[in-house]
Order: sequence, then structure tokens, then C-alpha cells
Amino acid sequence: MSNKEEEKNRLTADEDYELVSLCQKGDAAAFEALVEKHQKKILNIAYRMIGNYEEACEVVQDAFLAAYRAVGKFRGESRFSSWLCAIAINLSKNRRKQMKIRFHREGSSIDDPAETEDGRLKRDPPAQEPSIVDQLEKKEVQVKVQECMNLLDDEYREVLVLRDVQGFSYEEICDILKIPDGTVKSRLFRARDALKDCLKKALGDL
Amino acid sequence: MECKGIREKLSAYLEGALPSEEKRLIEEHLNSCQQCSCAVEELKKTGEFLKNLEGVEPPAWMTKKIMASVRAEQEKKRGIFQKLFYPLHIKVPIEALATVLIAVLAVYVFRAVEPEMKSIPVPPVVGPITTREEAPKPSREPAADTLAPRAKEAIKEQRRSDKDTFAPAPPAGAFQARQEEKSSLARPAEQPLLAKKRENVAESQGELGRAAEPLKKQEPSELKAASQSPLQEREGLALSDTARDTRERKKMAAAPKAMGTAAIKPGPVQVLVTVKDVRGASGEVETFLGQAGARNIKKESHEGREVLTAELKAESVREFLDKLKGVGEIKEKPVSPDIAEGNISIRVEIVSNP
Repeated sequence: MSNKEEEKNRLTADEDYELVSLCQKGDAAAFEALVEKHQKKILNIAYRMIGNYEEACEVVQDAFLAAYRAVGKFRGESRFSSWLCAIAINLSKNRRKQMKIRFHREGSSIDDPAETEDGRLKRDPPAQEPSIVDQLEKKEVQVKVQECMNLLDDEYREVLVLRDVQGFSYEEICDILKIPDGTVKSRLFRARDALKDCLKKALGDL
Repeated sequence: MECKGIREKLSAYLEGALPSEEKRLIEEHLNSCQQCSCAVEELKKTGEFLKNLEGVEPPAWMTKKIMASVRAEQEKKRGIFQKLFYPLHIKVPIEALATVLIAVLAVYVFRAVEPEMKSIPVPPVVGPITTREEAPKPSREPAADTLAPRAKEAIKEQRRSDKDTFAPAPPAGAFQARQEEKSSLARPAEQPLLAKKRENVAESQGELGRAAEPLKKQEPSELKAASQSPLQEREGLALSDTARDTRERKKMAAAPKAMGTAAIKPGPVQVLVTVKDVRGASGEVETFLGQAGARNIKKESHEGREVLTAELKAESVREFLDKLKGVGEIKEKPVSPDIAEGNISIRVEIVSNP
């Protein structure tokens, strides 16, 4: 019992608590402060989830608007930032689905790096020298990493983004995704293995 | 085989999430296995790649754009709030809603009452009785009224003529009157001419008496019918159909006389139509009446016969009767409607062909 209460206290010890309660009273300025504070993190999560900057920006706007609409229902059971992340992740997943549908309808789209699937990676010239990573620009490596992340399933990508990219604690990830700690870990390890294999294919030896 | 099992746990090993026993086993394996230690390195690098992924900066307009949509949302919310709580804003919609509600309620009430109204048998049954009482009366009463001065005139004339000629003997006069009556039945149009004749004194007196006679006869029986309870009345109606028929015929016989003497308001035109399908024919007749511009169409149905009463313009009576011939066999010819103007009440009785 005491453990649970402690956990609750810890969760409700939210740095955004005051701003959130002001928002709930209809203070737009307080909400603006929250947007300023969280938008970068939310954008980065969305960007890594989707793999497309413009789409990610739209998702961030949608996420904040959804948060504003629902802030009255926010009871502080988790941190505001976690709550906001959950909204952003859900919207990102939905956006990816929409993009996939659009992709299937329009055929292959060059503008859509999220939809490389296996084809584009296989078309790359096979790695001939062992240290190809050194020859590639840093940015190119990052593009490859993103492409490999895009190939993962949503449930693997989200834990990878939250844990390895954003550096959230397991506790926070459990809070955001509403899944148990063990599930987070097993998904994370699988995701890492899959990403490692993918990168090995894309970049030659790491 | 062992390598595969080890590699599955490498991620957990790097995370430090394995129990010490497993951790020791893996470390031992990594020391001996080149490939697996390579895999560990790769995993570490992958982690580094992910960690080193550059963050993206939000565009400068991001906050503004978000806040713009948030404020638009706020406006919308306030708008709804105002609509709900400011009486001036809600007045018109509420009025409109109330009007619609009243309309719907009215329709609902009407629908709910309508079947009851249809199921009440009394009005359509009582209706014809009153019309029977009322419709013939205006034709008879004015006849009596107009007869009275006419009789007086006749008496005056008789007095004048008494000076010149002898009055005919009363029994002979009565006999003549009876004969004249027969002829008047056959030729109602000649009645006014006959009435002017001097020897008609007795006849006109006799007429007065006869005009009053059916009234007396009829009234007690009808009062009796009216005093009956509705249920009895229905039975009574069914039973007294034949009785009424004879009464109607009497009236019909009286009508030409009244018309002959009064010629101001025509009596009801009565038609008996024999058909095979009573119901269908009554519908047809009703449509004919409608086409002829009839008013106050009333419909009575009894076993095997339908009676339609209506008010029809004199001009359209002939046309209507012509149409009736197409429906079935017309047994009782109506009085020639040509003599009258204005509205004529018409009674069409439809009976099935045995």
C-alpha cells in the first residue's frame, strides 16, 4: 500500500503541475509555456517515429491541440510530459498508417523516406570495403539508421525511440506506453538486435 | 546452437539485466567466441548510433501555429458557452425548436386521436337521421307555408267565383281532387296551372291535409328512433330499413308535389342504383360526386347497400346522372332537375344485384 502511494506521489510530483492546472482554468498563456517547453522533445519523438520532418511537425501540432482539448480530463495520474508523449506516439502511429495507405495508393514516392521497405536498401551497392562507415558522412549514417528504424514494427520502434534515442527511464516508458517493465525490455532488446542486423546490411561492418 | 542462444541475450547482457549466473556464462562464451564478441561490439555501436542521432529543432513558427489553433479552439468553446448561457443568443434557436416541437406534438396528437374518431360509429349513423329530418322538412315546410297563402288565395277566388257560378258539390269536389292528385303526380310541372283553376279549392285543401299527414306519421316514429340508445339505434336502423324505404318513397311522392306547388327549393333527388359490386360502385359514385363539385358528401353503409347523400349544383345534376348510368342499372329515376337552380340535395342508394 505504502509503495503504491509513494509511486503515486512521485508520479504526481510533476514539474508542470502548476502550468497544467492553470491550463485547466483556461489560461492560454500557461499552455503556451508548456508548448515552448515540450515541443522539441515531442517533435523529436514524432520525427523518429515517422521519419519525416514535415509530417512530424504536423503531428506535433495535432498532439498539442489534442492535449489542449483534453487537458480538462488530465487527472495527474502520470506526468504531463508522459501524457503528452503518449498522445504524440499514438498520433505518430496513426500518421504512419495514413502514409502507408497513401503510399499504396500513389505507388512509390521518392519524398517518402519512411516507405523505403526492403527494396531501397537492397538496391544499395554491396559494401566492398570493411570501413565504409568512415567514408560516409555522419549525416548519411544517420539517414541509414532512420531508414532501418522505419523498417521496425511500431511496438519495437517506439521503445527504441523512447529509450535509446530520447533516454527515457524504463519507468517513464512503462508510464507512457502503459505496458509492463518486462515487456518494455524484451521489446527493446529485440529492437536493438533487429536494428543491428539491418545496419550491418546497410553499412557493411559496423 | 550455443551462439544463437547467447546472441539473443546479448542485449540484456549489455543492459545489465541478466542474473549474475547467466552473465558469467555469457562472459565466458564471449572470451572464447570471436563472432559473438563481434556481435556485442556491433550492438554497442548500434546503441551509440541511436544515442548520437541528432535531434531536430522545431520550426520557429511551431509555437505560434499551435497557439493560433489553440486560441481558435478557445473561441469556439467560448462561443458554445455563450450560446448555452446567454439568453439572447439562445432565444431564437429555442423559439424555432419550440415551434417544431409543437408542430410535431400536434401531428402526434392528431395521429393518436384519428383512429378513435374513425372507430366511433355514431356520427355517420346519426348524421343521416338528422339530414332525413332536416332535408325533407325545408322542402315540405315551405311547401306548407306557401300552400297556406295559396289556399287562402284559392278560397278568395272561390268566393269571387261563388258570386258568378255555383260551387261544385263537396263529394264531387273531393273525387275530382283525388283525380287531379293522380294527374299532378304524373305531371308535376302542370301543377301550378292546375292550382289556378277555380275548381281546385277542394284539392288544395286536401293537399294541405295530406302534406301535414306524413309529417304527423313520420315524427313519432323518428322521435322513437332518436330516443333509442346507439346500439339499439343501429339495430333499429337495420330493421327499419324497409320501413324507411317506404317512407322515402312517400317522401319522393310528396316531393314533386312540393316542388310543383313551391318550386323554390327542390326536394332531394333520389336515385336507386343496382350494381354487382356495391363497395366499388359506391367509390365510383363518390368520385363522380367529387367531379361534379358536390358538397357535404356523406356516406352510409349498411348490409349489402350503400347510401350517399350530397349537395349538388343543379347544373351538374344531369351530367352526374348520366355518369351514374355507367355504374349500374338506375331503377328509380329522379325528378327532372332542370326546373331548379342552386343546390340540389341528392341521395344515391346503391344496392347489390341479387
